[in-house]
Amino acid sequence: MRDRNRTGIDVPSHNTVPIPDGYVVAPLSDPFEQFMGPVFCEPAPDGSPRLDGRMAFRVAEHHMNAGDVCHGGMLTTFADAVLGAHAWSACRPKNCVTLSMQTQFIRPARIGDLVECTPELTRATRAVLFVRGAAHVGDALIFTATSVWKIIGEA
Amino acid sequence: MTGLQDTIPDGFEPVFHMGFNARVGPVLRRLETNTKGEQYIFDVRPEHLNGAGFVHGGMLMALCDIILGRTVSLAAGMRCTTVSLNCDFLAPGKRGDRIEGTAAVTRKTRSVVFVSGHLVVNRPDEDESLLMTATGVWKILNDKTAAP
Repeated sequence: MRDRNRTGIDVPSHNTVPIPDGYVVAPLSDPFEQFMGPVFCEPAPDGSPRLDGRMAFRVAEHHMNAGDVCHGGMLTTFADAVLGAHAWSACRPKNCVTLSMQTQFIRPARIGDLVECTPELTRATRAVLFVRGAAHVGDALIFTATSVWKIIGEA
Repeated sequence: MTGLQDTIPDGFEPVFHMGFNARVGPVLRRLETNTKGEQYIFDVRPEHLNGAGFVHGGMLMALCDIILGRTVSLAAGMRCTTVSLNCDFLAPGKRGDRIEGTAAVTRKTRSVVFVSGHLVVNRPDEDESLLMTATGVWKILNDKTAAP
């Protein structure tokens, strides 16, 4: 079963993935994030999804690598989505793009695992944002990531 | 130009086309060896884009993980796992681009492999565009399992 999203791109249906407790579906607009998703985020007090906080995804078949654990490319994609949403929230109403990202893969994530990542703004200058994050499955650290983002239109 | 999803050109093989790689790919490796390193090609499709219409940063990093990882496992002859991946975003990738990747081992020890690579695009009537440079460290998994 496949859905048509609002960008008009054919993406796999994620309707069958249960929403974890304490989360809502993140309204990600990037086609690639929808293609690899679903990604979940925490709700604001009013119940609306908040994109500047903790996010999660459940490891599924389409995330696996040859070693039968979650692909590093999926973890970097998730890191880019979470740290990027945090950077995007921090630079509103301007936009930003990734300049650099460094990811350390501490432990493998396995099928069925809920990978949760909490982002943090390390520093904001006029033109550049530093954002880092750590992802866990339960209490086990899975990856850490640091990143630098350029605010478009600022020199 | 026929998409790589439909036809694999002569002289190329897909990189482990299952799971994540099957969802995003194919990523193809050139069979002919080159002194500059292993060479790969990848076609950008609409589902690889972000909301701004450029290739998603996660997709470019995933592509680097795939090509650097394959280069490492060929050099090591064993299964390997990513320990660290560092990516710099030099220019955006666009819809319809055919991205060319190159990766080469910098150093191989008994237990780890250092590798670096880059992604470029050659668009008609433009100079070659360098999209991403990447370096990484992979751990060799000494579990007697041959590389896939």
